Amino acid sequence: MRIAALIVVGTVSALAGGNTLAADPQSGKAVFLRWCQGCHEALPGTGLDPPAGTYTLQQRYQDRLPAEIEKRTDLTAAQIKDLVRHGINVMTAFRKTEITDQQLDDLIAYLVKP
Amino acid sequence: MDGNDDECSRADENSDRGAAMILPPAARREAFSAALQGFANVVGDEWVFSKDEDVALYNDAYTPFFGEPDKQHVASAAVAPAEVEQVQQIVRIANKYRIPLYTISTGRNLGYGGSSPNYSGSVVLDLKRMSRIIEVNTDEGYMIVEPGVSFIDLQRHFDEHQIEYVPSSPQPGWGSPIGNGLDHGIGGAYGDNFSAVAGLEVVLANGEVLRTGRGALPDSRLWACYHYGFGPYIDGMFSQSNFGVVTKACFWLKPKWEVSQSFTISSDSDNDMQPMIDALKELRNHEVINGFGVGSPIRQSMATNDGRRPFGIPEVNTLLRQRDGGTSAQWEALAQKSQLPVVEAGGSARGPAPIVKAQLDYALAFLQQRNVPGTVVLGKPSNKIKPPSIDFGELALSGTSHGHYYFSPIFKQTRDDIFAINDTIRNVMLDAGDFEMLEETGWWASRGFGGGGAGRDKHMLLLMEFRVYDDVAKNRRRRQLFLDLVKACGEKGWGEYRAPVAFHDQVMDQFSFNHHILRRFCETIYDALDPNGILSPGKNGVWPRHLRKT
Repeated sequence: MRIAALIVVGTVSALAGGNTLAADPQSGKAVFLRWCQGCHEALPGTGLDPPAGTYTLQQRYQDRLPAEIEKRTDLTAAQIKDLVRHGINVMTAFRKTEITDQQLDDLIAYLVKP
Repeated sequence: MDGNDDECSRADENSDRGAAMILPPAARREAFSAALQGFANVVGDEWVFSKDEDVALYNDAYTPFFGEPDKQHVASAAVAPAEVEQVQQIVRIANKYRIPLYTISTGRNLGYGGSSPNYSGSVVLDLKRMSRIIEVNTDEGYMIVEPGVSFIDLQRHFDEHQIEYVPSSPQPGWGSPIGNGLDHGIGGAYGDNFSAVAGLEVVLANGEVLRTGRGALPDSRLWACYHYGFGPYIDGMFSQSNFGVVTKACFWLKPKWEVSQSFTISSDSDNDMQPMIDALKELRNHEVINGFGVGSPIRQSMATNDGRRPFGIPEVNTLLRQRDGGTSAQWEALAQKSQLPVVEAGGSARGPAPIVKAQLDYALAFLQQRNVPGTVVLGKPSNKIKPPSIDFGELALSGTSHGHYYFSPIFKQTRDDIFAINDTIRNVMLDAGDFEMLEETGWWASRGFGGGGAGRDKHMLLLMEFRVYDDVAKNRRRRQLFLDLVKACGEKGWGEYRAPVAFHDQVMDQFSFNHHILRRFCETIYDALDPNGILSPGKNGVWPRHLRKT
């Protein structure tokens, strides 16, 4: 028998919005995998339909920019913050109980290329 | 509504509720501030959200009222506890200051209101931080979880620990087993997810903690092993409900299946639908198949919201626009020309490979023995189980920039009922002159052949997608169409299984047997449990005394 007792899923509770730590791209990758990858994975994706984000960006950019946001080199911190906190099209905003400000900073550190 | 101008007005289509950032009534601002301070003392400042930009994150991302902020359902603040004891304290503070709360689990009930409250000005009680998987018992096949756990979280946990069970996830999978189950949601493994619940922990409006079923015994080791306690079975009272805040739930789990396999039977005659249904029901009743569905491929061939793609047959829309919906002879002729079946039904089984093979061998022999008309095609066995994911592909391709919501009535598994509800819906759309909606949605029978525990079901479910557009006037017309459909179908006994927050009152209005005794009964219980009307006022049409319509 296997019993997994009191396992906290995710890391939200450890990182409150006010406790700012240095942004960590590795933690940002974990945020990406947890919240973003489902819609922003590489085409053709692993679902029944193409991943919504990558497909939409491919249609929009027509190869002028990479459709996979992990491959983008032009993203800015302000853009990512705006998208995560306001959403766009069918992508919803994410609450601070889902992606804390610290985790958003980590995500930015992962996605914004120096 | 009792006409109290100080109150945030009750949600309805004609409401003049306040603008996007609504606050509780002016007379209560002091109490509101005191309550927020009290909440912060319990959970910490960082988990009370009252800045406009933070509260806006609780708006319904897929609101049917896009472009009309004065009509949207909005919160005044949010508070996010991490422990049941914190929930108890928050509820007591809310009672002290008469602040309405609106409970969410993961807040991802998109298409049904998301994280937005029924009653604008409520403080959202956001349980996302309560994200513990308390126990997964692989011997017995059950789990005990908190509301903030998502199906995706669960899958990752199962993968990490090599747990051979399947989260019964809808798509997308960022919803919560508790939130989805309580809202009577449907998942791939179990079908009706609330049917898998075997005990709850609930914080009542007075702050007391209740455990149901075997959980009512002290230090019970059998909480998740048996559904019932002693006396009335009350778990159902907390589903689609504002009688308490569910903080834990026990779920029975389905093990991974080795294979799944389906078959279809199709024909070119409408008259063959009922014999097919009769045979499949008998197979279902004997548990030979555990998935069952029926449809009309030619009628559904132009619909775009059921996963199918247009076949480019314009005559389909011509026939659907006819008041009689096209005669059988017309459809049969078009089907022959288009090389599509008129009727298609099917079943599926899943489990150990030799048993599935035996089940389907029996099913196919049974169809032959009963002379069920049509051509049978046996699908290939599959060992793939789709994991919970954020699968928005179809929605992103559907032409909306602002999401969708669902009209979802229940109807009977008979040919007569299938045609009757389609006729009713089509004529409501024709009356509204909404040919575009008619063409998008087409015609509907069931959800397909492989659906979870659908084999147990004795109903069919229509899931009609209403997309939200930039065009505010069009959204307004669609909301009216939604309400017209609710009423027209409700009058014929087809009530919704679940509804967007914006339409809870109108859907509850349809359940009117004996002068709305269902709502009156629920409101009597609500008054007894929650005399100050703190918990989720208006949820599923159940309002506290001071906010009821006169």
